[in-house]
Amino acid sequence: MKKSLFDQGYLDEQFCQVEDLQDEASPNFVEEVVTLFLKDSGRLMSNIEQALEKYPRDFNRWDAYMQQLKGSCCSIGASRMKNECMSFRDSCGQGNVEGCMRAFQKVKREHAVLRQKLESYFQLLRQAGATGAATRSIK
Amino acid sequence: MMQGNIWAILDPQGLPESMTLVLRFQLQSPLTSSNLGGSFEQQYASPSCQIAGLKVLLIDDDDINLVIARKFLEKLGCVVSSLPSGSTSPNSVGASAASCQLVMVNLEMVRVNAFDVALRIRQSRSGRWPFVMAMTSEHNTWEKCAQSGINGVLKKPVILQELKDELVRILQST
Repeated sequence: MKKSLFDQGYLDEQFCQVEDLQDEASPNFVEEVVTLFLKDSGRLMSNIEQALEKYPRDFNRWDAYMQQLKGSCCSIGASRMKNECMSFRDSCGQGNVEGCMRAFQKVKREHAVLRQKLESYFQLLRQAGATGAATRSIK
Repeated sequence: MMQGNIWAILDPQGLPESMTLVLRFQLQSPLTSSNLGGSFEQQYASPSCQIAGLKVLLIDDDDINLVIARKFLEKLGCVVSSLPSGSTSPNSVGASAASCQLVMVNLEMVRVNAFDVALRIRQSRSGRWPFVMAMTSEHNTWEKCAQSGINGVLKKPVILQELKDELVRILQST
């Protein structure tokens, strides 16, 4: 399953960097970071949603919020979501409201899909750990 | 190859008015083995030893970046502290930075101007410490960083080996 997450572009190499940080001192590091990311990005997205409504055409404000979200996606390797963030920022740069709205919908969609896939991934890892499966890597 | 940059400032007619050349040089340590004689091995700790125990202050407004950067640094043996988000007033930064050897600052913070922070740290610095390292996803920020007293730049997303290499480079070039 992990391989398909990479093959389909949901995650990139940066996720591996994060995984490499997991060790005996912090055995659940990856899941903790992902949980924090999903929560934080949810909050950022609702800030953006409010800003889109409350501050029409305030491209600087919209862009500033999205820059933060893009940064988080980048740090964790959330590749597809990052690309949609960049597309939103491009539309801000062009002063294109329609483009921003469309891109934001895509960001939300990618977030939802990524959340679902990562939650399944961790569930599989937990099951593999619990049953002490011989095959540790889940393809 | 020389890791430099050259640009021309054009006047209103589009003709070059002035040109600037920036070159990055790696400073070589003035001490050579012939000066030190038998104590050479003890004088120069390996780069990893220089990094271990380094006191680092992280300044970033993004929780994810903070958690991941902290873990990278701890992996290298650093002792990491971070400012609570929102407390980047001149006094709090100065006080926290004074007790550290390295300050790592995210250039793309929303409410805080990282270059201001870097300048303030440089101004209140006495002696060698702290160094300042910037993290950025933009290209071509090196000149602006150098003007603010920033000693090193890391491209985001941070990769462990690049972090280590940049730390070693900063620590070896005084």
